[in-house]
Amino acid sequence: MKAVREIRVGLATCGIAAGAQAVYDAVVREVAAAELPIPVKRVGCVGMCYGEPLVEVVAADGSVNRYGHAQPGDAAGIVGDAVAGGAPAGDLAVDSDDFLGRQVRIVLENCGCIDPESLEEYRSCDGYRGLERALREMTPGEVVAEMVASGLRGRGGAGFPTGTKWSLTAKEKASPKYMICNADEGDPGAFMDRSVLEGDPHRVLEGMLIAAYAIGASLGYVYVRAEYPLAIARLKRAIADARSAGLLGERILGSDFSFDLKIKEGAGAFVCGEETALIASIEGKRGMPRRRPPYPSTSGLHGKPTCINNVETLANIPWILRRGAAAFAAYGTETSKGTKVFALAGKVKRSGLIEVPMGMTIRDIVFGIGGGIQNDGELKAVQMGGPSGGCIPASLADTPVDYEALKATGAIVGSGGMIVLDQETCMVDVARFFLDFTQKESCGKCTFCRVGTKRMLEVLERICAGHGTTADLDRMLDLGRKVKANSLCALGQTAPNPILTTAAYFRDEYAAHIDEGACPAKVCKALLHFRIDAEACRNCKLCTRQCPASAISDGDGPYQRIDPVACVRCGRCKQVCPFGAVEVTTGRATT
Amino acid sequence: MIHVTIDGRRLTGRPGETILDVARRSGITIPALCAEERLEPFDACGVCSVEVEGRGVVRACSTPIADGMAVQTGSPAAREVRKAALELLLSNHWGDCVGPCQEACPAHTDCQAYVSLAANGRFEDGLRILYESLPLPASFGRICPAPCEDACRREVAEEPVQIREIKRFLGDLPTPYVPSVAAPTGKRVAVVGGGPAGLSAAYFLRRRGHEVVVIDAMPLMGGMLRYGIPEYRLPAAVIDREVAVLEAMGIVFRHGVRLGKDVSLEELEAEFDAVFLGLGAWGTHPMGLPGEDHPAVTQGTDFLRQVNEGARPRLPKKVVVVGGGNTAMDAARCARRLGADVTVVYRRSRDEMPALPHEVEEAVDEGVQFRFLTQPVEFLADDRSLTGIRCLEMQLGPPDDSGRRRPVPVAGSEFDLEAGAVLLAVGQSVDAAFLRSTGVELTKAGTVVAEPTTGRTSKPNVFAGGDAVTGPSIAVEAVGAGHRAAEAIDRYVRGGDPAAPRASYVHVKSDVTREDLGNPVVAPRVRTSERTPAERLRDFGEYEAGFTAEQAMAAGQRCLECGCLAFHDCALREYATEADASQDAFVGDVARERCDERHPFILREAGKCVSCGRCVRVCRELCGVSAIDFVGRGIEADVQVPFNRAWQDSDCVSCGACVDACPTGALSDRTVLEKQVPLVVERTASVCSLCGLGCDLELLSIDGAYLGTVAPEGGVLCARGRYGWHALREAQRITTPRVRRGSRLVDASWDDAFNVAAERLAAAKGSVAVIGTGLLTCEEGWVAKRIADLLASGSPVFDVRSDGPRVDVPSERLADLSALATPRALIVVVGPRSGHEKVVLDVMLRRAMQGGALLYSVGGKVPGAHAEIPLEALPALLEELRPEARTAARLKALGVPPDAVKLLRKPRNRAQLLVVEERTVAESALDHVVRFVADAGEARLIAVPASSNAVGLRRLGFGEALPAAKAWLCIGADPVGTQAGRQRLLGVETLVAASPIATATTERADVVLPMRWPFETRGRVLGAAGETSLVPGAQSAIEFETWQILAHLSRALGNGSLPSDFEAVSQAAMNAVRAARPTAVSAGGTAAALAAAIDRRLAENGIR
Repeated sequence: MKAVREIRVGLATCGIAAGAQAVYDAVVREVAAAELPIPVKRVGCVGMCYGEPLVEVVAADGSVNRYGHAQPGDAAGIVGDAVAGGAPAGDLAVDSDDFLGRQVRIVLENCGCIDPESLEEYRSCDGYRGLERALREMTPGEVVAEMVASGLRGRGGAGFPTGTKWSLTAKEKASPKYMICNADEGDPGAFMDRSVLEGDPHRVLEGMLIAAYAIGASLGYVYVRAEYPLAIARLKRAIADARSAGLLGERILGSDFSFDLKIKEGAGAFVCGEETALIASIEGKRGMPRRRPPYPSTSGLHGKPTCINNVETLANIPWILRRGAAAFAAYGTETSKGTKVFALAGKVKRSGLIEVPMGMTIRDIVFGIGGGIQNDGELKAVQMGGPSGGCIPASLADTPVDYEALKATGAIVGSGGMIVLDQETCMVDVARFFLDFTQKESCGKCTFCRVGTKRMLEVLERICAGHGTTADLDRMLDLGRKVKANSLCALGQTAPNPILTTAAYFRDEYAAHIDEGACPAKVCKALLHFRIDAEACRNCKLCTRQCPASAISDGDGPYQRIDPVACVRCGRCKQVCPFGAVEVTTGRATT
Repeated sequence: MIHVTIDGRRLTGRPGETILDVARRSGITIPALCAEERLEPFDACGVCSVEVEGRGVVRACSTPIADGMAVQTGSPAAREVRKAALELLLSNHWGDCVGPCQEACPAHTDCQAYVSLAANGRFEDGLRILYESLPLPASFGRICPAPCEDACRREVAEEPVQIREIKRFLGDLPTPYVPSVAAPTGKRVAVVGGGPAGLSAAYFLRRRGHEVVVIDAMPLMGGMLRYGIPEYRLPAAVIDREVAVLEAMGIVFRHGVRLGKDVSLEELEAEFDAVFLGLGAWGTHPMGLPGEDHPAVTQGTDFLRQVNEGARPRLPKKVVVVGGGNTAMDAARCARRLGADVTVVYRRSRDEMPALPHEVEEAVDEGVQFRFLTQPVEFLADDRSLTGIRCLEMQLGPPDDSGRRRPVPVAGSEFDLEAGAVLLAVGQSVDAAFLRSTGVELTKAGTVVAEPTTGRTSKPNVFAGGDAVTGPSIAVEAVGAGHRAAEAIDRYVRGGDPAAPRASYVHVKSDVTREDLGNPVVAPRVRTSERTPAERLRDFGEYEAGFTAEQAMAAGQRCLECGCLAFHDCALREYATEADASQDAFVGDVARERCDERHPFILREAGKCVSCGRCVRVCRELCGVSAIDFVGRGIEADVQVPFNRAWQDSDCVSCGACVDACPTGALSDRTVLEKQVPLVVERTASVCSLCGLGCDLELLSIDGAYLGTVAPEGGVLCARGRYGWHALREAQRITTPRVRRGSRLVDASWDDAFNVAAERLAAAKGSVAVIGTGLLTCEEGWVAKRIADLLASGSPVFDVRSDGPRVDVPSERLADLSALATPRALIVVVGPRSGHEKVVLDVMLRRAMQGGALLYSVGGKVPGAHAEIPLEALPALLEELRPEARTAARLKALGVPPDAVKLLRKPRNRAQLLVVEERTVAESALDHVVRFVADAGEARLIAVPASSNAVGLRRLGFGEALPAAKAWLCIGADPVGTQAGRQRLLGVETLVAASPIATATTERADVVLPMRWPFETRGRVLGAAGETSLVPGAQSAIEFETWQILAHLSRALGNGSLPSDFEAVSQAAMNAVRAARPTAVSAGGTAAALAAAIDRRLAENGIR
């Protein structure tokens, strides 16, 4: 029998959604039934979304066998393998070397490895050593200096140097001061913060404690969206455990430093990720941004000096304090140090949560870690930075992931959404999708964001429906620049990015919609025409029976015909036709 | 000091001030919708964008000034951003600035205003408004084709409002209205032509103070109105009456003077500063047919002129009228009235006829025959007379330039029609060729070339308008042209640029559906009585009767009130005009919100909201209420009470501050009018007399009639002060004096009532109690005191109550609270503050706190107070506040939080200000306060009196103890309505009561005298510190002011020495007040009867 250290089952929200709870239960049952002394551990997410549910068998020597797409029925086999030293095969075999091997994991160091509900495990992985060092060996000023030296920049989106932010708050005289963790992760498709909170909550607490010590805060808040119940539960557990262990509360670790924190559950407004809106929300007001200055470092929560850092930013801090600023600054580029976590998604073969050193190119991420485009398609663009990010075309795929380099393309690092788009993606539709999100999430306070985003969206909708004009488009782009320049907060200032970048790099695609009434990627339904090729049709009438709009009927000969007026362009006929007789065309000429 | 430059002006500012602060202080206008001086910057609307050198476009409202900053408020970049912001707001604005009726009227008549005023029964006001844009209302009320009605939104529901009939009704009001004329300018203008264009130009010029002479070729004024339209449609008497009004205004008419014949243009130019040409279109087109020169073939216009001049020509049996316009109908119907068989020949079909449909219908009813698709080709005659017309049948081909289908002859369809006379009515032309030699440019068609917006011709001093410029058109078009030309001439003769100013922005709703209108109840048009066709044919009398007053009101009620109540006071409109913003720059979905009418006094139209948040912030930050907030996100974000409840069901205190803050028509006050009307209202500064705060307010009125109350700029009122009178509008008002005969009160004349009252009071001489209220003015109080003296019955008393406290320390002015509340002040508020007025007092206190003052609340709750202390602890607190005894521990023991104690110590020697609302505090508590203020050196007191003129009345000798008496004279008081009063009623044999409303006292009274509302009657009141305010009075349904009623009574009692003019009474009263030692600041008093009645009404409306 091979020595097995433990079996891990990924039980973050993503794993649970994929069915990992039943797999975990089955593995526990099998281990118990076989009366094996193997611990079965719930862990957070290792990031391999493409392989969920994921079971890892960790050998005594630390080597790992990963079983992907595991079902409860596979549990016996996996446990058998563990005992017999077998390796995953067939459907259970999941390629992880390229995916994990190319990453550098600082923030995600422990995610997927440790039991997030165990303070002991966190401490056994050098947890709270950074805090100990700060409290025992350093003055608050030295901690701030260390942070400045590390070059860490805020990972929430704007990339403001964390050390500078701390020093601004630290030098304020007013008391009390507040330390806030921004866990109001709102970008669609982004789950970096959730994974960290679910997989390694103590890391975030430790980061907050170090920050609070550095700036002189005595009270903190974790502002986390209520849609993250598991993250909240694990955070609560972590807070309770930390408090019992003397890591939170009065005179932490025997020092003069006292700090306590509360969880504030946000109601899920995207704009509450904006720091002034977030503060308003904690104060019990409607989450609406206000003008800056004054910045929160001067006048934040309840008018007191306040430092707000994002989850990922805070998760870097224990590592920096443990290993030193220089070790951190060794990663990355001249202006962007360390690593960045991305939620890699879209038409990429291996999607998931990844952490890469700053400076890695988009191409390396998509093709190296992501394994290339699904169905061996062609890369068209990468949408980066969430709904307020931009689209980087394939021609700029060698752009390194770096705050300045990405900004030059019109996109942003943002909080870390990275959506890979292939040739079957309509760029106008992509812009419409993201703008639809931001206009709905606008808090409605300032004119340019509230009305401007809506008016831009309406133009995009007209273009997607084939009613757009070039004048319309140009007016929209002009409006987009005005919204960018004149909105009150970052939501409005960045909301036009998707349309401005797609129009800059894919103007021909807009022109096709407007001038030819054609959607080259065949996405915009209003511009599609479905037709049955009489030659290819065998008259099996499968399509006719499946058509939800009863738009298909007998043609003049032994074939079926689609009524273009009744057709709702759902594409069902094309899916079911065994003979490939359904043709889809786009453009005015073909009607 | 920080030095900045704004638009080239060097200015200085303090640190922390924004660009907008400095600009406003320096009189530089920067448009701003969301910025409010009383509130923190909100930075939302984007309208205050300005350009800062080196920084680009920024928001003036939130950008702090910096030394050396150079600001351009109107740079191209700033203007572009401002315009874009406004256009985005406008793209989501669902509202009409004015009703579509007014937009459709070529003369821009304010239809909604006079229709709604008629609906309210305010006919004179309606006529006055009508005269603002239309000098001939009675005439146009009969003949105008009413484009307003075609545009009327009510059409979407069922049928348009009868705007023209209402106009006729108002124009026919028995007492003519003669508009006022501005001071003479010394400029003289000649108007050529006494038709609609000329009379309109003359009227508007005259109103501006110019001397105007109208010359006309015809014997009487009116032009085509008089000579082209038959009597049965527009009686000459109506025109005469309206011309008489113009004459009464001083317009000089010269009849029978033809330009180009009797006088030349050069002569007019020499004599006058400017000339207006309103020549009309009196010419005709020849048809060019054989036989057209036969004497029995005449022009319809000539025939009509003849008939209108009184001729009744004998016509042959068969008369044919050629043409399909209104002139053809007029000629045909006149000919019918003269006994002929009339056939109208028209070359197209009925659908293409230019005549008004009802004219055609009425012609048919009156027996006029029609031959459509018929084209005359020759007039046939024998030796003696005309015999007929040769005609061709036509058929309709494709449309021509006019959009109507062109008639084409049917080959071989020739036929003859019998006719003894033919009247041609195939169109009129302008006959101005004689002007060619004068240098006035004409078109090829012979019309005068003139600019549409000003009437300017090729000669700078000559203007023109009406049919002479446009060719034959509807009369109201000519009125508009005359008006526009008059404005331009006015600018010209005053030496200015005659060019028209930029048209002010007007927003309109598009594609309105019945649902958008709230599915109004179907209310068909009001029918008037019409003569039968047979009757009509007997003479030339009017065929339709006008509205009765009831009918006019009912017809006006159908108005849907499209126009915005904020029309005359809308910042969005002002800025949109200034920025030349367009409604359609950005097109998209609009939330079609209807008016929320659930609040009894505040109307809310969310569609007009620009999300500036001023209402929300005023409610929270200024009033401390937070009744409303934004709800929803994105474009759907909307100001609401959560869960879409009515505002008065929230924490709303109905202070109306949100309405004052709203820069658009999204929030507006209902006026006391039943039907709301957007009007230019008069604002009169006055004082609220409903409680001791004595707040400044502004009365809104038209023609002196009360419409509503608002707070003055920057001020706040409570629900009682703002909406109280409004709430009472349906209360049972006493308007006639009444005297008891036997067991019944019967109406009496004022003299009877005064005499009976005097007689009965005199009979009880020596045992009369004069009972007033704290609301009486000094003048009223002074006359009341004279009456009391005459009746030898001691001092008058306030409304009945137990003896009140007396304070011997002079109070500070309440209005100075903010000045006294310096950052180093400690304000001690004693007592809970009462009723509605709490809102206002708390706003003052909150401002003081925002200014840095420390606030302790004793025996009440002030939101945000630094300490709340129970009333029982007042003596102990005051002990601790004495300079010599400050022990932190004891203050803490009293419930003052450690922080507040610490703050108290911070600036040493805090200035102490005690604020007491007497009505809510027990005598003992007041006693402590008074002693403390007297002893503690620097401490100051603001004692809010129990009622508005308590101070003044006490100085006049008003007491508090009601003596036993055989007779009561109650002035505004309602002792019988109180238990204390009823207990004293035994033994009272005579009761005389003056009151604005029915009360228990008036029920029981032997003589009842009507009384004005306090704001309707002139007088002076004294505030907390004895400062004087004037209540200016207002128009009232009651003939006499209250002081006059008392004076009449006094005279009836035999006092002949009372002055009869207000100023003399006032002087005497104020002398008496000043002579009195300012000792007492308190008057007891249960809430005055009137205030209590208002509170009841407010409560019935859901307002706490």
